[in-house]
Amino acid sequence: MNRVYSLKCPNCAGALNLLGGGRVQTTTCPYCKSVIDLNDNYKVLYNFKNSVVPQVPFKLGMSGKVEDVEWTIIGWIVYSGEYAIDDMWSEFLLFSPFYGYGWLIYEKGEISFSKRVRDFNLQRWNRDSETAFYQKGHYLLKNEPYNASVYFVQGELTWVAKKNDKTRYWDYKKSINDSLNIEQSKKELEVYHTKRLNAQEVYNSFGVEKEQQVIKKRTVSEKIEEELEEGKPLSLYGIMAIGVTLLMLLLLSLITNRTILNKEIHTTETYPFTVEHTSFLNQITIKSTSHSILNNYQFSIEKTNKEIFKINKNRVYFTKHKLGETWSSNAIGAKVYLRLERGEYILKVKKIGKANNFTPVTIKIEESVIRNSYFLPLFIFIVLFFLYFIVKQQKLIYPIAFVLIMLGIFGLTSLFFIGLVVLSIAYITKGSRND
Amino acid sequence: MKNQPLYQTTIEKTINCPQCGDELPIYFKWTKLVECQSCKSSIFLEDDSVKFIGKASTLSPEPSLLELRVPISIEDKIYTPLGKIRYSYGRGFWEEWFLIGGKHHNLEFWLSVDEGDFVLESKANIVLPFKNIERLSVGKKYGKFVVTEIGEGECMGFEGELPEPIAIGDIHKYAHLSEGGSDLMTIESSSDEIKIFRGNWIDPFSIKRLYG
Repeated sequence: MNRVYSLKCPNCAGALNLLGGGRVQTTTCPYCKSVIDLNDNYKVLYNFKNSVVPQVPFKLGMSGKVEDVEWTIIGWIVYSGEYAIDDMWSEFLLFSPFYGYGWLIYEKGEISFSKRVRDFNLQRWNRDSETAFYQKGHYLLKNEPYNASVYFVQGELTWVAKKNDKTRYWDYKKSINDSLNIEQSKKELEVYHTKRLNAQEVYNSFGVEKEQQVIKKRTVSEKIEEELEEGKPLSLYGIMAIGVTLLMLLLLSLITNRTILNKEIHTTETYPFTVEHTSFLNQITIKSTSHSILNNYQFSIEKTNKEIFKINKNRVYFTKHKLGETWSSNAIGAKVYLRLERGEYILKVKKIGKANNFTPVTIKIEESVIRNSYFLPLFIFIVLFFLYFIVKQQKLIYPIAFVLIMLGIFGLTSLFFIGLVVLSIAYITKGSRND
Repeated sequence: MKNQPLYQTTIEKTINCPQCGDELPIYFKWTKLVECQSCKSSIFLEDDSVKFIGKASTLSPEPSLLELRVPISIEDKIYTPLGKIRYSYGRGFWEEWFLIGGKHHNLEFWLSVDEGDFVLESKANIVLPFKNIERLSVGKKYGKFVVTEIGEGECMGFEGELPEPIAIGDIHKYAHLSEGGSDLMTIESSSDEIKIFRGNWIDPFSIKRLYG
């Protein structure tokens, strides 16, 4: 017949609970803080009663999910670093009957999950090296190797941890959420794979009371780094689209409008000008102060004594083809886009009416001009694209990229569009909340 | 075709329990020992004959990622657990799961499960320069291998079917030798022979049930 046991502390007779599996070696009495050896007739090894217990949000016996696995907190160990008095962190020993043991690491509102790995090749590891390779990942030494010592212990542990026991750490970082820790104690050299967790999710899962919850705020650079590291396909496409758009902007910024003629005209005149670049369009801008003055002028462009373009109040044509309608009778200006070949040209301005000579008409000819209407589909695409990502993914990188791209394309005018997008998001978000 | 499962274990043959007469499906061609699911008798299979060798010890149910005859995948390879042996090491126990896998699902594998530590191994044809496992000691180097663990356990019982006979109380001695990284060699010693296994440490998070 099986016997049923109950455990009592050999020092104070307080009831002891054992939560962990077969590898648990010591437990600490919650009342008198005596550490009891479960392998050696429940001998009291030492006592932590004079230690000041740090404030932490987790308690022994709490259960919650990490990486979709249910874990129970069975032990707690507090380490203190060698450089500062407040350099302390807590490591909670987790137990799952399916997955064995793991660690929940808590340091000033930052929570990570760590599990021992056996597939790191310690034989090839060089402790002086600044890099380490694990599972096709490249890890870089985060900071100088450091020592930490045991400050406080509670609950169950799988080894005998004494106060001031020293461990040397090598922390390697692959990304903000993924690191590899090599720990050397007196007896063992162990490797742990550590993943940073969403603190709020952990608190919710372990049922930590709201007042106990401490969450370390991430800096903007940490947030961006984290978002860039997430290998989600949508993020990847988003980042690719941002890259393509930025590249396009860079290319476009190299192509700047160049004014090749800019004149104030008072009467009939002839002006030579040269077209050097044939990329994109040539833009002719005619401006006047009143329609009556504008209607008294005729503008034409000749190349090798052949008239190729002409515009006046009655008609406009280019290389003998009519170019739609000319300016309206009430217009005070006109803008015409042409594609002129490289070469020498002559602008002829003819005064065909009796307007006075004091009020000038200005004419400006530019080359390498991109029409705004070409940008419109691109602009709409960018706005829709970022609206989708901002609302759907709720990631900081997209609004930042959106603002930068808008500023790049439209300068300060973009603030209007940005405002528009912010209002749209607020509206959509409110709508979805109401749903 | 639509309703067919993605994967199915083949029943190699069926025998009748000599104790209770119930039908016993055998999933592995080379099975030597099987536990009757109805009367919990241990049945020894020798050539075409079956022999009752006693009652098997009923193992207490323990939570596990594996379940008998429920296929699993480990790093995209499919295995079916057909049997398990539980060994006691005093304060606790570990389990050795017998799996079949491979391209034709007829190769023998062993998955050692010890509170979150998983090692998947298969038999290797390696001749050792010694015949006594006692000669090994932790930390000692043998070529590119280092002895990392030596231990022993006592068989507490088994479930399902096994490719070799085992009895409750049998002492199982073993030594783990690491090649570095996840590569591992295990030497097992019993009263009459030494067996060598080669394999790897397995990340338990990589073990997935195929169904359910």
